[in-house]
Amino acid sequence: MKILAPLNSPEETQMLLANGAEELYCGLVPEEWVARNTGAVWLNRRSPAGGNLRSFFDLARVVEEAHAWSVPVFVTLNAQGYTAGQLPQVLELARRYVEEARIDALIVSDPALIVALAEESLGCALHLSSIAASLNARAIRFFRSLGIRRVILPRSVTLEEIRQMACSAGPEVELEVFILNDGCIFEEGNCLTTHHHSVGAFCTGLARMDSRPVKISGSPWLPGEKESVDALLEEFHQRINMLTNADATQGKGLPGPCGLCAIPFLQRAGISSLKIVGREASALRKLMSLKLVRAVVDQVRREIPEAAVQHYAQSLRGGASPCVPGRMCYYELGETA
Amino acid sequence: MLERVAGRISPRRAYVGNEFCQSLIPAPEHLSRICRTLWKSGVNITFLTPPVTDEGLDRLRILFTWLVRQKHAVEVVFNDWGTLELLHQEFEKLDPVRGRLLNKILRDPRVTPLYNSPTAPDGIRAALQPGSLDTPFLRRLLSRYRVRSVESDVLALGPDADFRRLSFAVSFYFPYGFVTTGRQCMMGSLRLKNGGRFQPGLSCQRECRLYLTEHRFSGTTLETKGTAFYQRGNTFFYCPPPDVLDSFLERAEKNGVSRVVYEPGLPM
Repeated sequence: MKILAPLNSPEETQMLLANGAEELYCGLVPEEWVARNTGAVWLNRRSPAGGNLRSFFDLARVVEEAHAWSVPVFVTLNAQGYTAGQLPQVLELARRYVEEARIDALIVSDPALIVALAEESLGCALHLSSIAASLNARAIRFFRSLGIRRVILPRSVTLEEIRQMACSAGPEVELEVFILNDGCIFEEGNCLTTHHHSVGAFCTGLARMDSRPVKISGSPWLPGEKESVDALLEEFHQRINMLTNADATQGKGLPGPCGLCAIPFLQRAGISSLKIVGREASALRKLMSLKLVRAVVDQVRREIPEAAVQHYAQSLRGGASPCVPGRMCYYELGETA
Repeated sequence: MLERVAGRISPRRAYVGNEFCQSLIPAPEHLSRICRTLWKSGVNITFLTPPVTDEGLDRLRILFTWLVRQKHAVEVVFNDWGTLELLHQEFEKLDPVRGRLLNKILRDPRVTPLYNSPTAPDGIRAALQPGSLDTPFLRRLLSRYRVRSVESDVLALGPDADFRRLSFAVSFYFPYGFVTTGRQCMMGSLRLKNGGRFQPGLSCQRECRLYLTEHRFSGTTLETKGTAFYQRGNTFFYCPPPDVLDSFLERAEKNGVSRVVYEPGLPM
């Protein structure tokens, strides 16, 4: 089970490699993409300005350094879909990532792009982004038949669902799961909104909208009924804030929601890779996140008993209070007991 | 509006099921009762399916097994590639239709009217085109799986939009479109204790049948200020403005729209 870390600058490469990253991923949005499509149409799931490298030279630097440590580099081309007009440009970029920068895998989501890349035989692996929202073993089989080697499971799957999918998928396909930072209240692959700065993310913006609960029958509210729906809405907003790590984006830079205490379970389930989220985060947050995950993975590798590892993982997050299920947790451990 | 353009509506096909939430997959006896009633009235059936986990797929398999034994042709709308794989492997008699959740066009009414305006840059307007449907890659993939129809929400179709040149029949849901959806349902959490709320796969009481929440985009200077969203169950919907709906219907036939799926109320 490897630790996969994000980056958005070649200056971060050495820091991540020296602190235990075993796989790296990043995006690259070259000027020609922005010139043709504007900054509002994203080549991958992160803003061209904040979450991406900007040149092939930078990408080649990252890959060269990582390969010197025998660490592979994966590059995202995981917009939810590309139009017929965009696809030739995306294919050309994919070719250049592989041929000029020697990347190891592309992270993709659009079935049309996957078919096109498989036909190109580019000589790099294809990883299925969580954006493809593969929630079941048959979906994994479907994408495997298109040439996918690794599937990144969506954030919304439970541990038991992960175990079942890992069991059914077999050794032919690798599974990667989210382990730290930046949750999402919606299924990212089925959320067709923009995160563009002109409007911000739809989910975090909800708290600023004028909202009004409606009783569908049209009958009058019973005493306390509307108050409980209002309270639920307020709690929903708080849940979104916790998941999206609103504190971190306000400058505190702390790692966000996590599944650290589930790492022993994920190891047993045969998961291949643990993904740390946050390409656009500061170098400091990336380093803190990597150290957190590495510390727990090291315990698992030393075969420390599972309960002790879970306790240790929770202690790393400052005790039990942030670990209340439904708040800062990706996964609910209770289901595995 | 629909009757003014299309004349008196006399539905020939009914959509049964739900395409957003696994918890709303009908029980076998419920589905068979509805289907039998509709078939008796001479109405064809399209069965809607949501994104599903392995457990949801097992439940769908039971329903597909019953549907495939009936003497009527049935369309199945899939919104999950695993469902398509299941249909392809085990239920060849059922006609797969790619659902609107797999049509990945930006549907964010906070920005789409601005992106679609004649003054917007070409690159932005291009992003609102109907996905990668007209690429040979997707055509080949879908035809390998016997998919001949695809579905979408109402888009602001330009005068040059022509779906006849596609290899697929294209249906549009009218008038409501979806914006976003997921497994962590707000309203389904109403009767749960705090720790169990907003979890994927939670056990709900179908509170989506009782309440919805209306949200209006505010705190902005954009002209889309005031745009309404409707949160019902695990999904957010929008209703395009009357001029867009009107223009869509006026142009539907000319643009090669093969079917309009009329939903008078919010889906769910």
